[in-house]
Amino acid sequence: MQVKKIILLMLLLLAGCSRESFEPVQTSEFAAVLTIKEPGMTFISPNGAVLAEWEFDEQYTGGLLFNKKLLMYRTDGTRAGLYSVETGKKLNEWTVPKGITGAVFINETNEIALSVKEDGAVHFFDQEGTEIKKTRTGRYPMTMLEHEEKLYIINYQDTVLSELDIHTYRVSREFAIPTSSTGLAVNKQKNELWVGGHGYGAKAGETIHVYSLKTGSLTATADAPVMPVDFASKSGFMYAVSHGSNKLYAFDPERKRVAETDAPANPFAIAVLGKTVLSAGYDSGTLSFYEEKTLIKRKTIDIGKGPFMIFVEEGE
Amino acid sequence: MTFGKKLWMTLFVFILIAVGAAFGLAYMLYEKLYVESVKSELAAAAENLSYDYEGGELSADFIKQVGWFSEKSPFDAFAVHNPRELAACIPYEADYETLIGPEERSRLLENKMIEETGYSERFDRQIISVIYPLLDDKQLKGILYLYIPLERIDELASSLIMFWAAGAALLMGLLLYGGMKWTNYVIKPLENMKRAAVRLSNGDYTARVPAESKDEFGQLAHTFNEMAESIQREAEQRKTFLATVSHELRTPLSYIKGYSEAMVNGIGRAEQQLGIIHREAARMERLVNDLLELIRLDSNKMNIEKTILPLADLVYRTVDTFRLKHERFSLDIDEEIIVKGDEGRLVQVMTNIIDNAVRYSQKNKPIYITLKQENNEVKWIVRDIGAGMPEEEIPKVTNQFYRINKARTREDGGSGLGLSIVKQIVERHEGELDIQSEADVGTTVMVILPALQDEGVET
Repeated sequence: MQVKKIILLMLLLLAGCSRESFEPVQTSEFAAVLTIKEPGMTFISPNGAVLAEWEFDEQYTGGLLFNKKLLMYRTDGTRAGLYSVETGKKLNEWTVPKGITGAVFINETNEIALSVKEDGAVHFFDQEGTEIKKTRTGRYPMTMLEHEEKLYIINYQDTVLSELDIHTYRVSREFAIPTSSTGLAVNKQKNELWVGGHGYGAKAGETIHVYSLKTGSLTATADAPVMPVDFASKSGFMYAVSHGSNKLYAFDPERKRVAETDAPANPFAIAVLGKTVLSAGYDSGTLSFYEEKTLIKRKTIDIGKGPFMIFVEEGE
Repeated sequence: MTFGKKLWMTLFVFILIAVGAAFGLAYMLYEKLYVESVKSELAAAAENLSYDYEGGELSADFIKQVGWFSEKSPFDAFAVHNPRELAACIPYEADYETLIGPEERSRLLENKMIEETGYSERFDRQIISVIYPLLDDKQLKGILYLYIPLERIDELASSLIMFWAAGAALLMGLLLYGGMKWTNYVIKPLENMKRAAVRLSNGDYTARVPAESKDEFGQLAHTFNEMAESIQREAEQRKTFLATVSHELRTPLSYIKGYSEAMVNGIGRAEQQLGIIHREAARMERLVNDLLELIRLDSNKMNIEKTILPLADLVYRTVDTFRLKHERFSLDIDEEIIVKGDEGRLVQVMTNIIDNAVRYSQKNKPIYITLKQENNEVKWIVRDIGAGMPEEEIPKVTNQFYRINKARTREDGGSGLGLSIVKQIVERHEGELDIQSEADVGTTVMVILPALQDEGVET
């Protein structure tokens, strides 16, 4: 009896010590959907088949997909887990600042930038998890985007969008934006920066603000009610998701709204995988697939409770 | 702390608990009945309003309609369709206090109504609220929010509470006053008893407690009085005993002193005087011996050494010692009778009894002595046709120094201790002493002893 107990205890200890291991994903083209209410990650093939389902012990609030690795963090934590998509194994655990609100991989320098609300700064890490530099940008930096050796950062609770030089880590420019802006995209053809709006206080945002990257000034607006919070772009087309009204919008390269459709209930994320537009509903726990440009819905699958982010890997 | 105070405190605590419990019960009823009924009214109204929602985005008409309802009904009601208010953006960490939280949102998404009672930061007051979901194909398009400020209910309750508090205070005052009176009433017999006990311990044996009631206190008082009486009796007996002993000793002493003085002075006949002195000294000796005997018997210090005795032999021997003093004895003796007893003591019993019979009988009147066995009892009976005594005197004759004819004391020559000693000895032999008498007719004294059962001796 006693021996059995000891063996059981040792097994438990061993299980506790061993690193988490999940089903590996070895295809080069997939989308990964992070769910918050049921902490996990679901990997989807372009045709909508579930490749793997990971269930985390920890409630990660965000993540970052780079070089077939997933860096998972939680806003209220100081540890971030690094997982290999190809092996399904936890590779490492990074010590990170508390209050991470966003993450981006900078292809130019192979560095990871983490926006941190606590100190209003962007922290740069190398691929080993060592912090290189941090730059203060404004109150509550959140959405980030890399474009032509620059890093654009929306300060959510501020009225400035910061442009950082990724080599010098210095703020090179600041754009005046409405407060509570979120969602960022670049229209390469027109050299424009698209900024979404969540809206401040009880007033919901209904407009996308478009800034000229050349002059830094507001050049146009586009209606996308209510609360356009995330963008995805492909082949010159821009797609926006409005989580306040559960809508998806498609804009042609001329910034003209060409399609509009219902999104799953309470969507936060939009992404393009191949020729498919994906959007997940936080309330409905579903992921819907749409044809590009026309936004005709193809299918909807259950994805788990509280999908919040979609990561896309399209290979080389 | 006195018992009275303890009792009063206990009562006070009980009253507090009772009043508290009553308050708690009242509050629970208020909570259960009133709040619940308001909640169900709110819920019914919310459900009714929700029937007008036809899906899709909330129309301006619908919102206006809800506003109209709010004006006309006792409840405040409004429809909300701003997703921010509906906690749709919670993962973004809203910089804004939403109307509902994420848990509430997920319950609403399951088409469940939410009822709440408590403080609302939004309205800065206590409210009872009902949140009703407006769903369109699993999308939370809006909510109906109905509430009623609790203040109104509290106002109602507060006026009630005033009455209630006044009533409670009055009731408590009355109960406490009554309780105090009652406590005093209850502990009064105890106080009386305490005072009486103090008097008793200070030597006042007349102290008594009024014992009117029939309850435990009454019974206790009654027992106390009995105890006091027996203490008083005991004390008086001791006093009488001492007085009697001194008196009894003084009489022969005064004889001895008087006659010896006469002899010293050469008055009267010396021989006769010496005879009297001798007689009185012998009487004194007997008195002292009897006293010692009695004291030893009383304090259980005397050893009774029981042996198997043929009782008839004892009777014959004892009677023989009286032949000189009295002429006529009529004997009816069962010679087979054997008892277990102390020979010397039983001889003493017989001697004392026959001595009494002889002393109070005329010489020519017969004294009947019977020894027989009835069942398990041996009966030894001495009957005389002598002076006898009144019936009421019988129970007292075994008392120490008790004499029927007090005036004849010295003439009779007894110490007044004889029957006392007899009674003690008989009782030590597990026997009984029975005396029957009638004045001028005679006296019958019966000693009953347990018969010897074993060894097949008796028939």
